[in-house]
Amino acid sequence: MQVTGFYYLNNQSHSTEVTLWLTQDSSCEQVRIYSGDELLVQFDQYRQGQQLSGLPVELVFIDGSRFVPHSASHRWPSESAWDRLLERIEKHKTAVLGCVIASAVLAWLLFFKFIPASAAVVARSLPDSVVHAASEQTLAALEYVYLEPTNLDEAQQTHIRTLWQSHIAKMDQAPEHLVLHFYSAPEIGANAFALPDGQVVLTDELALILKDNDTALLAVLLHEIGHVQYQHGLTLAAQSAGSSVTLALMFGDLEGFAEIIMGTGSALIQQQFSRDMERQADTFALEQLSQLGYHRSAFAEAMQALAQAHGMDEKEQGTLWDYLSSHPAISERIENAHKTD
Amino acid sequence: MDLSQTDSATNTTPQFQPYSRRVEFSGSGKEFFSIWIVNIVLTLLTLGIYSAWAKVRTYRYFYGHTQLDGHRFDYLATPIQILKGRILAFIFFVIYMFCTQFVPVLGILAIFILLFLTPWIINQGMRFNMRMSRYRNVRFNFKGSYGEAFVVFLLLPVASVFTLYLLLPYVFKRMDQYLHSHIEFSDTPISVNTKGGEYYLAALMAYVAAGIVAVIMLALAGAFGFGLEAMIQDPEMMNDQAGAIAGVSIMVMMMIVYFVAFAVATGIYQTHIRNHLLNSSELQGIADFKSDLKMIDYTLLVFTNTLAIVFSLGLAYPWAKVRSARMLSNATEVTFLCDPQTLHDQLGEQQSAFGEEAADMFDIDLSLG
Ligand SMILES: [Zn+2]
Repeated sequence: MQVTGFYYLNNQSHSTEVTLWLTQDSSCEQVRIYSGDELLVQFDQYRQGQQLSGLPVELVFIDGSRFVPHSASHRWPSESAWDRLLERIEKHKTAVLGCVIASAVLAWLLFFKFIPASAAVVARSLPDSVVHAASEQTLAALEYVYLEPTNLDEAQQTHIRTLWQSHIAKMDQAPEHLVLHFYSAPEIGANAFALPDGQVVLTDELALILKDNDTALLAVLLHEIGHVQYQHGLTLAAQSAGSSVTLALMFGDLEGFAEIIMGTGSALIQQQFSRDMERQADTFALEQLSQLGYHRSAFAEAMQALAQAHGMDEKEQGTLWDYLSSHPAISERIENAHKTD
Repeated sequence: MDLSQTDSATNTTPQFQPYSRRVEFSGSGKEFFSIWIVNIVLTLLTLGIYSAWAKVRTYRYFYGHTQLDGHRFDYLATPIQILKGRILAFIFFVIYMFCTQFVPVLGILAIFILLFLTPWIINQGMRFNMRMSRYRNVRFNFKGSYGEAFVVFLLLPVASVFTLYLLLPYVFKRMDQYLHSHIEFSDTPISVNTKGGEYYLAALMAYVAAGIVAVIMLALAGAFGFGLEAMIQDPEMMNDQAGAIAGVSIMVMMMIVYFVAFAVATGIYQTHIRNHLLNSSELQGIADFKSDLKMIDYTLLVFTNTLAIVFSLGLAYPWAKVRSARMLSNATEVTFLCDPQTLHDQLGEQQSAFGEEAADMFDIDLSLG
């Protein structure tokens, strides 16, 4: 085998135009390097550099000198099976198309199956003390920004607490450590939310609009207990961390606007998962309502009251906004409550 | 004056005639697409571990296809070095996330530690990248100092906040100067004589251009918005869908305005700074650099690359990378001031003299990306 190229001495920029002869017997290999007719040097050992489509493959010798062929397509007999396989795939049109499809399928599996599943496992296997500490931090932050001491009078608080306790006692598989807090939240308005360790926050505004409808209030609280039961908060946090790391590994260095768009895409996926979680919590609340012997329509009443309080027409949703929202459309949630009732 | 210059030139290199060469890039979008997509499949299959091998293949592709005076650049890092760096970064990230989520006091401490580690990480990253870059069998090197990096990357940016960011272009000048003037090749540092004024000029041009573009586009959008409003006034269109469409289209419009203004600003700023930086740099006595990147060409490139990546859902990424590499290479010229055949790899000579192993404990890739 005869190849032309540059011969570099160890640690020097000096290069020589050479012709390299590689002879192979059954037992040994020999490399002889000629500059014109003059034999410069010969070796009986060499190591080949990494192989990559479109680039020449260098030979490195025992004294640190190197030979780089001029031809980018020349390959040595010592190429590894793995290098050859990769290069064949990269040069094969159908194989590359297969890779495009495979990467789409794999990315889908990863983002929609593997990451959510492992996020759920991570959320479940976190020790209670850690979950509790995280919840305390979140609540402290919320208190600092949005929440103010409750304005509900004692009688009202006791009434709701009794409602809460009497029903939790009756649930067969209630999560442990459930605690109810009251806060006034003028900026958030009528709302309720759950922290991963079982603390549920009810705003005065919500308690007021549902003060004549205990079952509807119970439906809202059960929905929040559903979030605690399925560890939704922690799962979503773990999931979004996993997705961002994966995106970073796929694209490495996206710059500027492309990065923003890809980030937005990832956020939209997260919203999709968030909506699925809301549906799961809704179903949990509806089932518990039935088990406790109440009418499922109580949930629909709660949703209607919420929509009204936030100045939404129940028909207003169910449009483009659905894809941007972290919650399913109110109309859909109300419909679900009326289904199979 | 002229006479003395020619005198000194002839004294140092009696027979050598300086000559100039353009940098060439020979990679192709199609070829790199194949490499990239195979990298992605293997990275996904191995849950990210292969990304270290993928990075080496990508860098080797871009370095190897960059040629100057008939010789290729080489990227020398091994996947294991990259993997070690990533594992280290991952461990720190997990600890940091854990701290901020559960023990905020430790989280703040972690931020402080990271802050004080930043100059070291920057030096380490540059050192690694330079030592892994080779041209004509000679490796680059980087010799930064913690103190200077601390001033340039921590103190000055903080100080610029107190000057309402008026100091920022000067800070960028200092950063570029720090990163480039500590690069060495064949035991010679690059001398960088950039001017702060050019950075202010670049920032001003970018601001003004982005502002003009934004105003023009908003005016157009306003005209379009009137039409939309008229449509909604129409009783038959007065439904929920129209409201939602109007809301979403305003959002999309704002994003487009932002995107165009951003691309224009980036293109103008980067072109001006790159040209100024390379034109003010010289590898003393070895090579002089020149850059003549065209502002309009580069802005269009940034613009079309982003559009292509977004609308192809990322599939145009390899094509965009190759296009950028080609334009930047072709805009770069190097003048050899001495015979490039006579240089030495000081790093390698030291190593053999002291019998040290090439990979010391911190020879891992800490650079991001
Ligand atoms: Zn919910």
